[in-house]
Amino acid sequence: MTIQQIINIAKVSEYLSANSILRSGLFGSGTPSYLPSLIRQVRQSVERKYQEDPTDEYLIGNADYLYSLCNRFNKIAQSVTGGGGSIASQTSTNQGIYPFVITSADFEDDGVSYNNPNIVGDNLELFPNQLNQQFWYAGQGLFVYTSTGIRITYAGFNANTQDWTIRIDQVFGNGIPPIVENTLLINDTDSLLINSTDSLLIS
Amino acid sequence: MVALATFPLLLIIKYNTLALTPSFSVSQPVGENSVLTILDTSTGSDSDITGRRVYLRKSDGTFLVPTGTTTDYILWDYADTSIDIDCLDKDYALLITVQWLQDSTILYAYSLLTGLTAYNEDFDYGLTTVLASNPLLINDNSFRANKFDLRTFIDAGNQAIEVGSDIKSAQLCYNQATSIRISSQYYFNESTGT
Repeated sequence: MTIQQIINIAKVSEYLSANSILRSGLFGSGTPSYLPSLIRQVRQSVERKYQEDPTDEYLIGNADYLYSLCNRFNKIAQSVTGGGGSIASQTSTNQGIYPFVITSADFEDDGVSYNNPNIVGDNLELFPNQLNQQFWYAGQGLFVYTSTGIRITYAGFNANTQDWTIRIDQVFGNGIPPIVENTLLINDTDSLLINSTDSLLIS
Repeated sequence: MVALATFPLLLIIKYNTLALTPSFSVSQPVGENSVLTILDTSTGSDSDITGRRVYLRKSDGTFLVPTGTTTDYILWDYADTSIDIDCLDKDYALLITVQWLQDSTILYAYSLLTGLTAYNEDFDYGLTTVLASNPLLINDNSFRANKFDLRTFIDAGNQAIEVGSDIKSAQLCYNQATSIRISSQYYFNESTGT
């Protein structure tokens, strides 16, 4: 991780930590009340020195300390910053992008499709914040995988008219394997398919 | 070089024709906290210009000049794109004015309100380095509170310049930060928590 990535993560962690303390009630659930200020101040020091003299001998150690301050906010901050920088991943996995949050504005014009090449082929779970503690998995009739991302099939879902905030995370282990929904184009004169009452297996 | 808190304050054009659009930028060289560098970033040209002057006006209305200078200004050879002026003994909020001259006649002038904070910024970075090498220091309320104050005074001074164009308030804030820096032995017990 580069120093610039750590700086970016720290900038996000500043407000994440502040909001966390506000939401956590008594004593911030153990998070020191000065943490947002400390992250900000150390970030400012590191950022200034990084701009001024990137070869400073203490810079890496100070940046590591900054990263350690961000601690439990690191992963969320990385999802917000898109990984924290523009360094290409050394591996082909997209694991580093998860979890991340999308809103209604991220959906396509049809109001149900979300396209993102980075999630294609991954097992996903969705957590819509409007629904009480309910995770969505593929195969439950709530969303399906497409060749370009996902499409929400939850009854009544329409991102064009509703405000949704959905956290997307990757599922490992026993996650349901991706089922890519394909469109079958048939001719209306094909009576065999139209009149069939049996299921149609496509392999 | 890092971005300094600046606020362009004054632009005077003495000519009817805009042959030169005057401007300059200010920075401090790495590791030379007593030096400020002024870079002429003017566009256009004017063959009548023969020289330049630099005024470094402090918040109390007096002028800052290098040791040995007997005038209120510093001469800046027009052949040089930039000038290094070694005169800072602490952090300053300065109203820097450059005049483009034809002999002693002012053709153009441009002013910039600037915060020069390398002394206190470097000191703050030093405290960060101490903290990074000994994270338990953060549990020392004195260390933490004074470091927070230091940072706040630097930022407040910069805000006074960028938002309020207030050189007096900016200098007061920088002075508070300087006070913490030069009396650091009373504010920061760097061995705490070891």
